[in-house]
Amino acid sequence: MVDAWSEWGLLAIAAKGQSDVEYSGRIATDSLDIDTGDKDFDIINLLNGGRLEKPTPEAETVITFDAYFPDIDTGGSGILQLFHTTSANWDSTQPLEVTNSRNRDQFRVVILWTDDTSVTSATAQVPSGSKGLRLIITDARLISAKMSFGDGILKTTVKFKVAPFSRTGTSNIKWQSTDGSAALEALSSYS
Amino acid sequence: MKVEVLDEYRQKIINDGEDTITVYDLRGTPEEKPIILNPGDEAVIYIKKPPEKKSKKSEKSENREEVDINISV
Repeated sequence: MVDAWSEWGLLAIAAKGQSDVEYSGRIATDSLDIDTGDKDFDIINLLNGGRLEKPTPEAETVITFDAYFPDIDTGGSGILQLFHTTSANWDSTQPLEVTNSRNRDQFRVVILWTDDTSVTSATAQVPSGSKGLRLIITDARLISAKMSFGDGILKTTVKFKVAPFSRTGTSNIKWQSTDGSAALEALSSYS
Repeated sequence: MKVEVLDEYRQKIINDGEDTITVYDLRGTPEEKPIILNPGDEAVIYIKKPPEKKSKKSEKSENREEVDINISV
């Protein structure tokens, strides 16, 4: 295995039913944060001096990053159409426009670290012989896109939040890794 | 990303942006295949499978089979 993952990675975002778009060329490397939901527990003290664990259900996972977007396109150079409306209402005719709405889309966020520098998408296959680590979160919500010009450059702090399970109990968070002895297969579409 | 509808089965996808996108041939079917489009790349994808056409050769062989059956009868 590699000693650690560093320097570069890939991050793709897909709205439900849409293409996976690579955003890593817009994200500051040191800003990516994966706040995995805790699986905490409380303690009930027992009369005999013992302790009883009372599990707290797994909390939500939040992915945060700072990105630099020049426009509101949906092809990787913007995020505001994803935040303000659903993909059915995306504007692709210049000049682009979006108004805020009560619509909320669901997203798949995929993050990949690999030693194969020929891989250009987080959802792509990591071939046998290459190492990789991949996080896939599905049915996430884009809950925050705060913008700042404070450092003299327009920066957007983006937050995706995902419940660990769907209403029916399906897992929304998956990790994959390979030590090179087997390929990490390309992901199927997010529908 | 530009999408040109070629016919009811096919679309031409042109990645005219600066970021890589992944589109899917026969999306949502068992034959689905991801296609990675780096900036400047384009691809023709099937959005649904076209009906299979019978080739003339197979029609001929079917006819021959019928003849054979008649002879044997």
